[in-house]
Amino acid sequence: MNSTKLVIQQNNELREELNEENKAYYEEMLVYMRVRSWLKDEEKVEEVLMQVLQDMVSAQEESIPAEKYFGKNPQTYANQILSNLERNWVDHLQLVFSIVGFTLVLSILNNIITMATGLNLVTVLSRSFLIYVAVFAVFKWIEMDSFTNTSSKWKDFLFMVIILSVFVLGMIVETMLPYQLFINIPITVSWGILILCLIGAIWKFFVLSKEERKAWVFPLLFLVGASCIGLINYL
Amino acid sequence: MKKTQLLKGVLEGCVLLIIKEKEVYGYELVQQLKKSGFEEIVGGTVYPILQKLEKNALTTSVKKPSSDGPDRKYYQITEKGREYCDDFVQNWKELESSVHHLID
Repeated sequence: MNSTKLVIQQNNELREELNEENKAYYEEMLVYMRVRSWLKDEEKVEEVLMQVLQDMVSAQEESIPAEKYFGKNPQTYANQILSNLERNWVDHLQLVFSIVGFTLVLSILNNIITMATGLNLVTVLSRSFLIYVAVFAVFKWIEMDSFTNTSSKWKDFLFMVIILSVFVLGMIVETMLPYQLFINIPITVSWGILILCLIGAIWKFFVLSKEERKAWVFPLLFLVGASCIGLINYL
Repeated sequence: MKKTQLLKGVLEGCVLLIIKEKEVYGYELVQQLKKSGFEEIVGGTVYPILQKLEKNALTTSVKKPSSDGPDRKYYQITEKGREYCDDFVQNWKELESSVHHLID
């Protein structure tokens, strides 16, 4: 486990020591800082979050409520704290590469199921871009929703509809792009890549902690399911 | 005029003066400020100051074991910080006497 993950886990444990009111106050700020820290150094963000949490626990031990300790304008303070942190492009590149990787794997799965060998690189890139925009929009959405009492299921639903519409629109637009770049990937290579992904995903499942495993079950089942369908088709 | 506005430029120096006395962690520092008469100071305004001081190499930090979860971040003053403190005290004294002069 790397140090950032360790701090996040320690944060989850220590947070339980806060009483209900203090926890609610802290968690609102925690979520806000985590989503606002787009492009920022995650390790530094988690370090400050832990520091504040430990101090709030100390305050609570002396019967000082979190709001009285930290102040009435958590959003302003959080913004100041974040503005002092440097940007981290390495983390960001990692995100970009994982999105492109994800889209590539999806395309290869699609090829295996339909037994196709063509791969349109323009489609892969445009879909990656769409996913990137969607991730960014979700982050911004949560950010705008913080420290307000106006959140509603309705608005969240509307937001999801807008995101999905943009996605569908993007997929229509990409077929009309003047430049398409097809490459040929033999089915055996696709299978090779899929098997490597499967081994990687299963290995990761056993490496992850119990909490994180839950989130990993779905993509793993998805991979196994797609492989099964592909295999049936192949045979 | 709001007191907090007046305080803005001074607070950094005050925080540093406390750290100069002994190494502290965030909560300790806020309590120390309150004890010294800065009763309206809240943690939220102190963390950005601590970040700035460290960024400008006026302080450094070390991690020490804590009873509240993992290791805690303690701030220590640097040589540069000491010099800054001396300047701050000097400037403050001059400013204080000028303002005093006007008030009287």
